[in-house]
Amino acid sequence: MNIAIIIPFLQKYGGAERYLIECVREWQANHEITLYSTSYSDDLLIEHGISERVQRCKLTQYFDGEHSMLLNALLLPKIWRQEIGQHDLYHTHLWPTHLVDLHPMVWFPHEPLRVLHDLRFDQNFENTGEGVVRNIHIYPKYSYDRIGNSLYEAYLSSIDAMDKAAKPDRIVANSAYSARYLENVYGVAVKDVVYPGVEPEVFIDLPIDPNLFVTISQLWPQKRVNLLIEAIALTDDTQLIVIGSGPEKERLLEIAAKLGVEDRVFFLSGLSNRELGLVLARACAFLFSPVNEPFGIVVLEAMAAGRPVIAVNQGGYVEACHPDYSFLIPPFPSAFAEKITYLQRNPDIARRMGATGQLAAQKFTWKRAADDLERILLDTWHSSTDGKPTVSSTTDGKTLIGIQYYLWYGEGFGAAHWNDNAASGHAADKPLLGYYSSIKGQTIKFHFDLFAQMDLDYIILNLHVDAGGVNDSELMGIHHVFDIAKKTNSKLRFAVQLAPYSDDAVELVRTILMLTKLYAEHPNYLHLDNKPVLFWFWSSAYDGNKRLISSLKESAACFSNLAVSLRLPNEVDETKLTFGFFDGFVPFSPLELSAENNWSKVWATAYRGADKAGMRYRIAALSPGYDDTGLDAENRVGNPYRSISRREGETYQKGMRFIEQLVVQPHLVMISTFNEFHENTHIEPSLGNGMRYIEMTKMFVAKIKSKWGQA
Amino acid sequence: MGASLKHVPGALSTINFVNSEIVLADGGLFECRLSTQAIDSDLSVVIDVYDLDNPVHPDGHLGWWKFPVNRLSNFEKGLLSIEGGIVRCELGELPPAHFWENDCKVPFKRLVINAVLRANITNAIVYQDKVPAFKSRKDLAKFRTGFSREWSLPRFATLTYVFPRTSTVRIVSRNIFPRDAVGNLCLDVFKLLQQNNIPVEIYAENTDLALNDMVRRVDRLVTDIAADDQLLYFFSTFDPNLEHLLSLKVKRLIAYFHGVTKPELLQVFDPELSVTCLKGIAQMALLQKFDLLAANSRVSAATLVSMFDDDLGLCVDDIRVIPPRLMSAGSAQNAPSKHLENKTKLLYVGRIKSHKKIEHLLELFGAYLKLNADAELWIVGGGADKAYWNYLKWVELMQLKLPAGKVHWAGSVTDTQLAEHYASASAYVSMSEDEGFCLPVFEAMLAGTPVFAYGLPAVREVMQDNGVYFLQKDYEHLAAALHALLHDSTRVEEITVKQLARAKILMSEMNGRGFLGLFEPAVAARVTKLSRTGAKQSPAKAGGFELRTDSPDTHRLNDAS
Repeated sequence: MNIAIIIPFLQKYGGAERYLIECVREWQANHEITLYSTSYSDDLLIEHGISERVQRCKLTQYFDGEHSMLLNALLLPKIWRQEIGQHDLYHTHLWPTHLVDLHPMVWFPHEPLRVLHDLRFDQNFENTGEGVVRNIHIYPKYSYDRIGNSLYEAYLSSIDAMDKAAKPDRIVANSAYSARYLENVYGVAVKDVVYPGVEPEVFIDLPIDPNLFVTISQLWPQKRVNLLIEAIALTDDTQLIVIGSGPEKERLLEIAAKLGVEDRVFFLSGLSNRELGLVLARACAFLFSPVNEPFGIVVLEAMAAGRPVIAVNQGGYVEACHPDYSFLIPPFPSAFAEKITYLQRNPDIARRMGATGQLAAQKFTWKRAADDLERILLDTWHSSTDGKPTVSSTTDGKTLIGIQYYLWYGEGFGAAHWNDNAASGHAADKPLLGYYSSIKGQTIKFHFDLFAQMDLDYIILNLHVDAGGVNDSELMGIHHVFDIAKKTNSKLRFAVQLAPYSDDAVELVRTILMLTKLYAEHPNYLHLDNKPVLFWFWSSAYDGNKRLISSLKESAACFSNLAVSLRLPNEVDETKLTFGFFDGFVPFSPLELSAENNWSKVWATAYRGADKAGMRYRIAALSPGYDDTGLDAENRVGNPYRSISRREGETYQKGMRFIEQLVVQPHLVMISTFNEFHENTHIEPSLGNGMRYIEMTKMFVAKIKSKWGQA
Repeated sequence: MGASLKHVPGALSTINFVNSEIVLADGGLFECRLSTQAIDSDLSVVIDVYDLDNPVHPDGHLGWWKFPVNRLSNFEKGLLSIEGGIVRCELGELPPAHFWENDCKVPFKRLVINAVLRANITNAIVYQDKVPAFKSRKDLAKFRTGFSREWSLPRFATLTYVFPRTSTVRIVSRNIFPRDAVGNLCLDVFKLLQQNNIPVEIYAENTDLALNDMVRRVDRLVTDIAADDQLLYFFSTFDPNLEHLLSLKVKRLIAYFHGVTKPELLQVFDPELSVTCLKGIAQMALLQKFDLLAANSRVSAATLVSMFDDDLGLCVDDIRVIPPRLMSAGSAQNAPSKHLENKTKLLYVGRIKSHKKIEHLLELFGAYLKLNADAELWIVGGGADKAYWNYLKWVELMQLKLPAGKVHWAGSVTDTQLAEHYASASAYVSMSEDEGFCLPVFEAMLAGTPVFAYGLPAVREVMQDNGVYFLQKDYEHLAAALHALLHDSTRVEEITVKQLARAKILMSEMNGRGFLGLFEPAVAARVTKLSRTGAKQSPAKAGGFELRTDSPDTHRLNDAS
C-alpha cells in the first residue's frame, strides 16, 4: 500500500510522535510510506530506526501573529491538501490533519481539539487592563495564543463548524474513553481502539525512597499539576519531582512557594532516557492528575518501571490500571495525600504493587499497537462511514430550594480570594477540591454534581459591581456556568445576584441590560411566574436613594427583583426605603441578625415581613454557621455576631427545623452559602467539614420536598 | 530556612534559641526568643526533635510539639525531658496544642532540636533555628572537640602591613561545614587571620552544629558590623542574604567566587541542590557590586565576568585568582614518599556527587579490567546522596557486574590515610564534569601520582599541560590509553616530575598571602573603579605572565608574587 502519513510536527519523541514513529518502524518494510509534516527531525527518525526508504515531505509552516489560531485551524489544512500527493490511503495524526479531507482517510486524532469541548471553560485568563485575554494552547505550539474575550467565542464557533465538516473514513482512538469522547464530538461510531505500547530501555532496580513521588507531564493548565502540589503540602516529609516543562512552570513554582513546599517540589527537564529511568526507579509511586487525559503513555512507563500509580479516576489510562497496582481517585488533593501517605508508610506494599504493574505493562507492546493499526489501515482502503449529534431543555414551579454560589476564586493558594489579603481574603478552611479556580469547567462541573446530589432547584450566581464596573472573572464564571448548563442539559436553574458596591447607576443599568440580553431567556435561567429572577445583595447602603432605585427598577422591569439583605424588611415603611422595587426580601445571613435565643423570633419576622410589606414572594433562609473573625476589614469589627459556631451541624439544623415548621409554604428557600469560605458559611465539602453539610442538605431537601408534595 | 539576614529580629517573624546547646542532665532547660512580628502573626512554634545522627522520619524522629504563638511571649523558657527513653517538650506555661510522639522508642546518643515557625493555614515553614542536645556535659565536650579550636598550627603566611585597630574582618558564607571545600577554606582563612592577630568573626546561615558556638548566625551580622569592618564573602551557591550583605555599610566588601555547579548535573539525585545552583547562577551578576573580587581559578573568574554588565568593562584580570586552599610551607615535605603497589591501583578522591560522574569512572574501570584483570579502583570520599550511592552500586554490581573486591569504597579518610592513598596509587582518574579548581588533581600532582582526567577547563588550568586529559568518554579507547600510559614507565616519570613542579608553584600560592592581600589598605579602591580609570591590566600581560588568549581554559594562574 502507498500510505501518506500526515502529522503536524515531528521533532520530538512525545506521546503522539512516539506512537507514529514506533508504528512506522514496524510498517516500513511492508509499505511505501511518505511522511508529511511542517517540521521533522532527521536525527530523531534515524535514532528510532526509520530508514531512508520512508520519504519525508515538508508542509507549509504554522502561521504566527494576529488571528493565527484561526488561520492555523481553518486555512492551513487546506493549504496542506494542495501539497500532499496522490496515495492509496491517508493516515492522519492529531488535529487538524483530518481537515485536509483526502480519502480514504484513517484519522488517529489522539484527542479532539479539546478547547472546543471539555476544556472550553478551563483556559487561564489574564486581565490586561484593556480587557480579558485567554491563554489558549493548541498543539504543536509550545506557547499560548492570547485571545481576547470578544474573539474567543467567534473563533471557537468558526473552528467548530469547520471541524465537523470533514468526514474521515475511519477514526481510531487510543482508549475506549477517547473513543466515546470522539463519538460525542463527531457523532460517528469510533469502534477502533488501539492502545499505545511501552518498552523501557533498561529496568533499573534501585531501593525506593518512600518519600519520593514523581509525575511526568507537560506543564499546561489541564495537566492539573497544581493539584499534586497541594497534595504534597498536605503530607509530611514527601518530595514531588515533576518531569516536564511548559508555560505553567512559573505559576506552579509560585503555588509551591505560597504553600511553603518550594523545597519539596522540583521541576526537572531535559532528562535523558537513563535519567528518566533513574527518577522513576527511586520513586515510591507515580502520580497523575490531568483533566480527562486521552490516554497518558507516561502511566504505562511508570508501570513498566515498577511503580504503583496514584491517579485521577478519569481519562484513557484508567483502562490500563487495575486496583492491584493503582489507586484511581477523585481529583482532590486530600485524596492524593491520603494515598501518598499510605504508600509512604507502607513501602513494601508500594514495591509489591509496582511489581504487579510491571507485569501488567508487558502486554502493552509497540509491536501489538503497530499490527492492530496496520490491520485497520488495510481494512479502510475500500470503506468509509457516517453519524450525527443531539440537544434539549425544560422549566418548573412550586417551592424551589437554592443556594448562594460564589465564582470569585482564583487558582491556587494566594490567588484571588484564597488568602490573598487579610481584609477580605482569609479562608481558614480548604475545599476538598483544593484551592480551585471558580471559572474552570472542571470546578463548575464538580459543583453541578453536588447541586444535583442535593436535589437543589436553583443557584444564585453572585456578580459584584463596583466603581470600576462589573467583576470580570465572576462574569466569565457566569458565562461558563450557563454554557455548561446548556451543554450538559442540566435541570438546574440559575439566577444572577447583583451586588452593587457603588451607586453608579450607569454601570448598574448597563450590567442589567447585559444580563437581560444574555440570560433572561436562557433555558437554564430561573423564572418565577414566567419572569426571570434577579437577586440583589442589598446592604441597605442605598435605601432611600430614589434616583438610583428608580433607574434600577426601570431597567430591571422584566425581572422579578428579590432582595437578599443584611437587614429585615420594614413591614410598614419599606416603600419609603426601596420604592416598591423588590418582589421579595430575605436575610442574606440569618445567623447575624440577633443572639441565638431570638433566632426563631427574628427569622419569623423576616419571613412574614416581606409579605406584610406587600411583596409577592415568601423566601426563607438558613446558614450552617458564621465566622468572619479571620478578616480584619474595619467594617466587620464591632459585629457582636461575627462568630456563630456550627456546633457540628446543630446550628444548621436549627435553621432547617424553622423552615420545616413553617405553616405558610415559602416560594423559595435559600441556603447561605455553598462556598463563602471567608465567612465560614460554606457547605461545600472541605477539609474542615468533610461531606457533613452536603449530606445534611440532601436529607433536608428530601424531607421538605416530601412534606410539600414535591418528592 | 535558616537564620537568614532578612529575618532580622524585630523586622520579621523569627524564633531563635538563646543557648547554643541543651544538656538533659542539667535539666534540659532552654530559652527561645520570638520576634514581635512573630507574636502578632498567625503562626505556631513547632519544637521538632530528631536523632542528630539519623535525622529522618520516622526512624530518627522522636516527636514534635506545636504551640500557637498567640499563647507565647517574646521570651519563653522551655524544657526537654526524657523519661523511659521517651522525650517530651514544654514551652511556656501552656501545654502544646498538638503533638506527635513516636510510638517506637528511638535510640539516640544526641539530639537536634528544631524550633520551627509554621504558618497555621498552610503549615509552611516561615523560620527555623536549631541546637544540639546531649545527655551529659561529657557528651557535649566530646562533640565540641570534634573540631579543633587550635589556631596556631599549621602556620600560614604572616602579615606585612599593620592592620587597622578599629577594623574587624567578618567572614561570611551561606554554608560553613568542615570537610567541605568552601567550609574548610572559610575556617582556614579564619585561622590565618587569628594567627596574625587580625580581629575576625565568622558567620553562616547553615553550619555544622558542632561549630554553632563559634560560627555566628548570619542575622547577627546586622548588629555586629561596624563601618570600619571588612567583609569577606564566599560565594558558591544561591544565597538569600546576598542583597542584604550588599546593603551593609562597611569599609570594603570582598567576594571570593568558588564557581557554581551546573544544575543539570545535580537534578536527578539532588534536585534541591540543583535548584539552589540554578538560583545561584542567576545571582552571580550581583557580585559585580562588591569592592574587590577573587576567584579560585581563572576559569571561574572568566565565568563570573561573563555574567557581569558589559558596560562595567570588567575583565578576568580585575579578579584576583587565589587557589582555594591554605597550606603551610612544610606540608609537602610531610607527605609520604611514593610507593607503588604491585597491582595497578586507580584512585579517585572527592565527594560522591552526581556531577563527579562516578558511574563513568566505573564504566572506564570495567573496560580497563578487560586489559588488566589485577587492577583495583579506590574511591575515596563521602557525602554521597543515598540515591546516588544506590545507583552507583547498581552500576557496579548489576549493570557492569564488576568482580567483587575490585572496587573499594573507602569513604571519608583521615589526612594521613589520604596521603597513603595518593602515594600508593598508579594513577589518579577523574571523570568529573564540573569543577571550579579540583583540589584532588592538585593533591595527586603533589604526591607524584599521574593524573588521567576529563579535560574540564578548570582541571586543565590546574594541570597546565602536565598529566593526561581527554575530552571524549569512549571507555574502551580511554582504557587502552590509560593501560598504555601505565606501562610506559619513562612517560610516567616524565609526567610526574612535571606535575610536581607545577604543583609546587600552586602550593606557593596557598600560604595565605593572597587572602591577606585582600585586606591590605592600599587596594581599597573598588574593582569597578580600577577598570573605569583604565588601571586594569592588559589581558595579554596580566600579573607579569604571558597569557594565551585563544581560550580561557589554557590561561596560566596569576602569580601572586
